[in-house]
Amino acid sequence: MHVKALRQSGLLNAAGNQQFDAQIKLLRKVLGVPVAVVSLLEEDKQVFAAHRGLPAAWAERGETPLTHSFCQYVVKEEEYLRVEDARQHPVLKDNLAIDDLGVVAYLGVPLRLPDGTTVGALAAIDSKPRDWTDEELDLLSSVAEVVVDKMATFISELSWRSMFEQLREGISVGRVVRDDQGRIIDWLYVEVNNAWGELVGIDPKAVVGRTVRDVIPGIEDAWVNEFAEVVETGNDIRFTRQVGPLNRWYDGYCQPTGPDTFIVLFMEVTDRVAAQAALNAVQSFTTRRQAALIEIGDRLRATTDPATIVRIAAEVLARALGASRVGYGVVDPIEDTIDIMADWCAPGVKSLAGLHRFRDYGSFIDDMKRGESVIITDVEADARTSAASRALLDMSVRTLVNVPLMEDGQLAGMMVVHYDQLKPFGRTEEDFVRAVADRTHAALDEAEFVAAQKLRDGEISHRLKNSMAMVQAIAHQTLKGDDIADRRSAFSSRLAALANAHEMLIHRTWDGAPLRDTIVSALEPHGDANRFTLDGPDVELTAKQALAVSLAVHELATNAIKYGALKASAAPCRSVGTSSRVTRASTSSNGPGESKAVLRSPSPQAKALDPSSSRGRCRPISRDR
Amino acid sequence: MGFAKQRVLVVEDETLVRMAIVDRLEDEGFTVFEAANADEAIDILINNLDIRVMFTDIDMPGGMDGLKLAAAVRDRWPPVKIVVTSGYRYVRDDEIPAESRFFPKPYDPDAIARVVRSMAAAK
Repeated sequence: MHVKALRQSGLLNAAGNQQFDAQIKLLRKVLGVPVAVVSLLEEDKQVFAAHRGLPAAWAERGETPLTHSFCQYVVKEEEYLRVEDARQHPVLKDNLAIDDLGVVAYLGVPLRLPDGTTVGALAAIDSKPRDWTDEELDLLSSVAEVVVDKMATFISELSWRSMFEQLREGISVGRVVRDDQGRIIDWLYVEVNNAWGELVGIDPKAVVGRTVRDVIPGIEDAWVNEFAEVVETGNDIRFTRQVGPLNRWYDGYCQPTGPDTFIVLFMEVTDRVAAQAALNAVQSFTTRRQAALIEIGDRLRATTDPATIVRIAAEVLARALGASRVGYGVVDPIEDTIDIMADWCAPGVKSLAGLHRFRDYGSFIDDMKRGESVIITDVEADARTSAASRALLDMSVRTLVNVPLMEDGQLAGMMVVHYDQLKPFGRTEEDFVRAVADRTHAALDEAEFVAAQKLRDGEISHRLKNSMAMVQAIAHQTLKGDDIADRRSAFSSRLAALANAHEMLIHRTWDGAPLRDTIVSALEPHGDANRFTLDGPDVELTAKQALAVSLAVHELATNAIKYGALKASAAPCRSVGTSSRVTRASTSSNGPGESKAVLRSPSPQAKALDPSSSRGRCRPISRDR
Repeated sequence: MGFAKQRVLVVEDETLVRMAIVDRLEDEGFTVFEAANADEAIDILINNLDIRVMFTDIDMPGGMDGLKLAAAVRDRWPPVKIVVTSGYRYVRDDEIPAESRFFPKPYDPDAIARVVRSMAAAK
């Protein structure tokens, strides 16, 4: 194990001779032997970590097979071996080393590392028989201790070295560079490990001897100043910082190692920092979004004006998103148009309020109709808008976001968000826009409802007042003369006729009524419908006209019952006619108070007639009793 | 009476309501012209320069409502005094010509008669 590690380091092969050469030389001189070796034992051979005095052929090889090894016995027995004459030795007498290497006398001691393993032997060899003294053995053992010490040191250095190279953390050893005044202005790479190369993305072999400013041009001054401080103060530091030119983040530790040197141990944390930044962005966006929604809620409550509602929502949304324009529009899915009710625009961006045709700006309306948001990060690059990108760019639209608002499966409204620069737009932002669009739509609905309610209330009040005015007119017209009983009954029946006409109109939501229906309805309380003949084309009356006609017909019918045709119960009454140009409802009766009325429809055709004629003939309705 | 009947104009599209106030004003001794809308009113004013008072409803069909009619009459026939009524709205003083009067509907015909009489008598 150890031998392998020692050999793999290459140090034994190249510099090893140097490492132990002094000890070998010393042995040869003190013991007066021609050959001395440091032999390391492997499974099938011995390797000389150091040697002197071997025959040239073997010296060059630096190793021998086990057939030529005395040292193997020292290692196996973990005990010294003292041989005066190998040729006489029961075990060694046939060893090939005797002839090939000229080994006759041999004195060897084991090389035992501090952990107890014996890795080889240190041996003195003579080519003639020799009687080794105890003093000579002691001397050899002492030299062996020095060799073992050196080996232990080397192995520990090697393990540090291997750790250095195998660490996943990056390590760099640096030396500061000073200017004329002694100020630290840069630092040199003295050594870096393999991990450094991976973490920095630069070949580690290419940086030793160069300065950090040279290796990473444009690197932040902090990377020099902070390590300079470590060197100047002797205090170690921790850091988490980006190397801008590499666009990577590092988390690490720097400590001084000498007057001008320091060592840095670091990890790359780009992903962690990016994830944290993304999380922060999301959190801060979430906070901003909540604040924006609350603000919209508060401010929308205070208004019922549609344009103001849209402006408020647009402004708050634009601020939260950093958009250059936000608007809300009502979509006409048949015409493919959008009427942008109002918008908020950043300074220098012009308003797009008004009517627009989708097809003028590309082909994304079809996506919208399916209820899908359209997010075009770059109007120049996106196939849906690239043909119309000139027009869009002229309107300061580089990134375009349209979020549809569906109502009963139909595209009803749309929130429009524009950026005059490229802007990545994600799911979170889209959801936010949708939330604001929903709120805007709801507020507009509410405002419309309130406005309609107001209008309805006003309309009801108006009708009521007009009805009152009418009742008053009837009262003033009716309650004249002395016969109170007669007048009271006339008043009641007129009010009944008015109520009747109201009833008819309410069924038509007060939109007016055809002349024929109006007359039929007014005649109904006055007996058998078979007794009236109506002819002529039908004419549409306004609500006001229908009321007046109803009351007039009521008067005529009342007169006819009192004095005319309807007095005799059997005879049918031919009485009501209309002509195409002038609507004419007339009742003739044969009785003494003959009455006749012509009602004119105030339609455009009727205007041509002298108004005084209508007036003059109308008035007898109520006057002829 | 030792003087010719004074002439007044009633503008109201609701026939019955118009008839009622016209009767009331005739009973008061005026000669009363009737119009159902602003156009008719202007025709009558053109042909009868001695009309002293116009009583008009605001809410009428056609392009010109009672307020616009009142303003037009004040411009073209300054001597004509104006009384305005409406069931739909209250009218602020600055919406009708100076020296005009407004009565909300339903109005008291006697009050209208009194105001018209005093306006017609004023020089």
